[in-house]
Amino acid sequence: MEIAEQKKGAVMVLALTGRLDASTAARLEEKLLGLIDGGETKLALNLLQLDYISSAGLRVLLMAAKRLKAVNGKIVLLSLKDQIREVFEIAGFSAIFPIFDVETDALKSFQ
Amino acid sequence: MLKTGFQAFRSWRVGTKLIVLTVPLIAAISLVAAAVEHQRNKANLQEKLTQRARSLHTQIMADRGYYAKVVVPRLIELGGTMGPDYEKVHGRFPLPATFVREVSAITASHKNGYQANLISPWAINKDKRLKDDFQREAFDYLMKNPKGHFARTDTIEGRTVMRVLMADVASAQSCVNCHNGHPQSPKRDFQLNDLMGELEIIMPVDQYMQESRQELALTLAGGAGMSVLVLVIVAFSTRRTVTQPLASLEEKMETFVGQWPYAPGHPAAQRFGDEVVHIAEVFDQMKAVIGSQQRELLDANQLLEKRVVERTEELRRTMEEKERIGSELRIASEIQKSILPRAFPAFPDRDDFELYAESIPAKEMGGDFYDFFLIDEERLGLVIADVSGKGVPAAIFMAVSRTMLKATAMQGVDPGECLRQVNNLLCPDNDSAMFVTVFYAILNTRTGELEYSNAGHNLPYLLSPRGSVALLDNPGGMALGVIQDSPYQIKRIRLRPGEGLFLYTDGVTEAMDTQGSLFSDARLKQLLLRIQDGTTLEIIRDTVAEVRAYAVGEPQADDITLLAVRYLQGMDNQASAKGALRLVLRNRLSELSRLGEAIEQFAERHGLPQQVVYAVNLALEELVTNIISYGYADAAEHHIVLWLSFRNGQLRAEIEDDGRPFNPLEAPKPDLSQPLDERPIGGLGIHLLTTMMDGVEYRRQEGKNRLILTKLVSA
Repeated sequence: MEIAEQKKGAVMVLALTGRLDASTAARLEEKLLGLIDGGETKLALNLLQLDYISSAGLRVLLMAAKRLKAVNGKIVLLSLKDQIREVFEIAGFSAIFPIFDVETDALKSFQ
Repeated sequence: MLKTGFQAFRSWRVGTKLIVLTVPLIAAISLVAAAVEHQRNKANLQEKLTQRARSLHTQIMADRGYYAKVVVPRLIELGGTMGPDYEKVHGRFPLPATFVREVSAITASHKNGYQANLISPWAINKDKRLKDDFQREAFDYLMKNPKGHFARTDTIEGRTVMRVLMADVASAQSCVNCHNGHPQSPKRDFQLNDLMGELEIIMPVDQYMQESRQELALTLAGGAGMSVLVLVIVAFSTRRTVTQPLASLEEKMETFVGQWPYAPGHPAAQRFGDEVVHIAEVFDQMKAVIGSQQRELLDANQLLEKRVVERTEELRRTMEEKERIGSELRIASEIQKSILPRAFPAFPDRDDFELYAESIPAKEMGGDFYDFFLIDEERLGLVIADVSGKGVPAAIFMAVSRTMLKATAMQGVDPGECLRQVNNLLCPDNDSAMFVTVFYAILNTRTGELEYSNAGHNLPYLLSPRGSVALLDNPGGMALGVIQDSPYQIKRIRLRPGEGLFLYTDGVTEAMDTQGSLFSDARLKQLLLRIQDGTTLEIIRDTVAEVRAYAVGEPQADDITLLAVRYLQGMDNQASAKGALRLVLRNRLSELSRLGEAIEQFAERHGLPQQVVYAVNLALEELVTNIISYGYADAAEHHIVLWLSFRNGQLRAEIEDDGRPFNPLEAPKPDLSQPLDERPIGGLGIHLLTTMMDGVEYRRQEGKNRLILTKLVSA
């Protein structure tokens, strides 16, 4: 899985490519927590190229969301594939994470 | 003589000695006391008598004094005269001396009476002069000590008397005048208070002596009586407190020592001493015995310790050996497993048949085997075999016979010929008289013709999609390795597409439950009727599960080997089952990539839709990750086995692991309504898999978790 970082204004946008499963989740965890500890409070995850997410990945996202909440931050997700969206629904994450179809909407949500 | 007497004394019993010593002692003490008392009495007596004499003297002097001073002068005044012949002469009165003498005569006649004599060297009456040395000595003494006394014991006429002499002092002037005026008085110059003579008091001692003797006798009698009493008391008490216990102790010790065969004997003749001495002797013997016993014990102990060390070392070596053998067996078992073809799908590029096989040995090494191989493009060889026995010997024979069978079969001979040749190869060098039953068939995948021969094995079932299950006809034939040149016939049938063959060994039908009843052919047939529609993998997995469920509680009695093949030539691929997958993963997270790949390939082969693939991927990833992360308490390598099959629109995934019991269906369901803060990090995976898969079935069998997941693929 690849993680591409891009700061857009005050928001740090991360684009994930590939699979977020038990073997790759650790890398994402490291990345996210590093950013949050480094002071980032506005995060957006672009999942357009993400083919697969399993519970390991979900766990990492939940952890990041909790951390951000503690520092009054926010994380949003965008461009979820149908499959991924389905998984989020099943896991009840749709209620926790703001999910957007396009990046612009996502970025706007931070204003 | 003295010596023997002394020795004899030493031999007396302690009790006796006590009596012999104490009683005479008491008696002696009594005697001594009596004697001392007697002596004291005698001395006392003297003293008493002396005192008595003195008081008598005082009394007498006082009487005479009074007479002489008061009476005599008045008598004289009245014209009387004094003289010894007062009885004869009228107007004559007794002289003071006469007074004394005659009074004493009266007293002397009494029992306890005394006699008083006035004597003097200057006595007018010559009878009254000093008569013996005693009186003379006394007089001399009294001259110097007029207030003293001079005493002696004497015998007069056979009677013991005490004679006490005291001073007779001229106490009255009349005495002095009388004596001085008397013409026959040898001394006529007396003065008042001069010593005129002496008074002798004679007291009989007999009485007192008698009394004293009586006292002595009493004392002696008392002493004797006390001695007897002491004797009796001492006798009784020593008997009880000393003699009997000592005797008992002596006896016990003798008995105790007597029972040791090597106790040093003691000649009784040498023994002179009381029982205490004897006890001491016996004690010494005991000491010797116990001493030697202790030494023996110590030696034995040392020896024992040495032995224990030796045995422990032996044990250690044995354990090491056992472990070595155990690990070699494990390795051998792995090797044996790997000999048989285990990769499934076995012929992924063939769609005219599909097969699956499994062999589960009862011990580490098994004697059953299956085999399948393509002889050529068209012909598929199928073997199932059962070596007599199980364990290492059967395993070795199994390896030999399998090799021979395959080598012969690969030459392309018909099944009967193959068995005949292999039999003739096995018979000659068969010292241990082992044999193997074999069923060998060749399926022509182009025509469906099945040519088979049998060597004493149980015939396989023919599975027909019309729902019937029937045994193949037996061509006869004896097990291989028994008789040289044994004949083997061939039989032929033709398989229709969709028909299958179920080959098995008797470990299936002879599996026993805890009551001892067998699984039986009937049950197997019933089972096959039920499950024969499934893929060969499913049929075999289900059969294994059934047999295990049946025999639960009993250890596996015999090797279980199964091989199922289905002829598919000409069948529509979609409606058919093909390409079942068997994958073995090690318990490392890195294996997840292999899992992902295998699923990918399987999905592609079967043209599964994305949704199904995703669900399977997620479910299996979750399960396998769980197993790897939490299933094992040790750091050893474990195998996780995965089977995937797809038929009739249903995907079936089966996972088996030997980790901790874990039923995902029992995992608590997460509360999805909780807000972010309260949502726990874990618990999602199981929830996802149970939601995304249609069917989840869990069984714990034979120490393994078995999970079957199904997902329907909508058309």
